[in-house]
Amino acid sequence: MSTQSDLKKWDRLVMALEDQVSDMPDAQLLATDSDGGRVGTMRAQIASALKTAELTDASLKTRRVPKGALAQRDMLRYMMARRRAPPASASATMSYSSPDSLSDAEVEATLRALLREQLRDK
Amino acid sequence: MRPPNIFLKGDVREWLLRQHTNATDSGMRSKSDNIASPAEVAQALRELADADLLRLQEYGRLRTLGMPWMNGADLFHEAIARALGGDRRWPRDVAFVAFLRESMRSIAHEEMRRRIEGPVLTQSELGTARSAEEPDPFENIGDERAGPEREVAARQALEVIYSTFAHDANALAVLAGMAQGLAPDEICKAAQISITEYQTAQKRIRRRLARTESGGEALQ
Repeated sequence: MSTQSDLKKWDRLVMALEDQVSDMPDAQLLATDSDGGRVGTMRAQIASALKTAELTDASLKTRRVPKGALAQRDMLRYMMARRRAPPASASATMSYSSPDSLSDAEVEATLRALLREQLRDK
Repeated sequence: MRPPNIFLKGDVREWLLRQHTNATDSGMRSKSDNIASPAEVAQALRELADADLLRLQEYGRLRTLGMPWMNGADLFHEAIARALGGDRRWPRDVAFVAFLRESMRSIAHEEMRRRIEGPVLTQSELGTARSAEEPDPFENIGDERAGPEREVAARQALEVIYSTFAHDANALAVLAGMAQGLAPDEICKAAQISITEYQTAQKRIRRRLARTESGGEALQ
C-alpha cells in the first residue's frame, strides 16, 4: 500500500493531466471550441481584469513622460510640489512611482546629484 | 525652500530624457532585470493565443475537479489579478502560460488550506510577492506532512475522479499510476497492460474528464 499522502497524489495526478493538455496540438484544442465561445469568455475575463488593474492602453499612456515635462524648471517644480502634496489620482501616482520607471526618489536623487555637480563646476 | 535657479546642462538634460524614455518606451521594463512589470504582464495577457487560452481554461478546470467549492474560472481570474497586481511575479525566462499554470496550482492549494483550516495568518503560507522560482510555501511549511484537514479535501477530489471510472479497470490503473508519478512504461508494467491499452485508456480518461462538471465539447 502506498504511503504517499493523498494531497501529493492528487497534485501529481492533476499535473500529469495538465501535461497532456500542454502537449496537445493547437489545432486539436481549437477544434474543441469551434464557435470560439470559450475563447471569447476567456478574453472577456482578461479584459475585465485589465480594466480593474487600471492597465488599459489609456492609463499606460499617462505613464509616458511628455517631452515638455522635462523642461528644467518644470521638472524641479513638479518634484518639489510632489514632495509637499502627494498626487490625488492613481494615474498620477503610476506615472512617477510605478516600478516600471524611475521612482520619484530616484529622479530626485539624480537631480540633486547633478545640481551638486553643477555647483562644484561653478 | 525654493528650488535653486540653475539651468541644467544640455547633455545632462538629454541624459535624463533618455532615462525616462528607456523606462517608458521599451516596454516599461522593471528595475529588476528578470521580473516582468505589470505592464508586460498586461501585454502578455493580451497576446495570449486562442489555443493557450483554452489550455489555461483546462488547467483551471482540472485543478478544481472534485472540488465543487472552487471554480476554474475564478482560479484563472485570481491568477491574472495577482500577476497584474504584482503579488505574483513573472520571471521573464519562464513561459507565461507555464507561469499562470503554476500560479493557479498554488492558489488552489491555498484555497484548500483556507477552506479547511481557516484564514492563513503567516506570510510563509501565502504565495504573495514571490516569483514562480521561489519555493512553493505549500511544499516548505515546517511540517512536511499535509494537515489531516487538507488531506480530506484531496482525498475527496481523488474519489470523485476515480469514481468516474469505477467500471474501467485500465483507466483506474492508469490514473493511480499517474497519481504516484509513474512513467507510462512503469504504469503498463504495474497494471499489466500493453502500451496500446494504456494509450486507449488515456483517451477515455481525457474524454470522460472533459465532460465532468463541464458543459463544453469533449477533448479528443
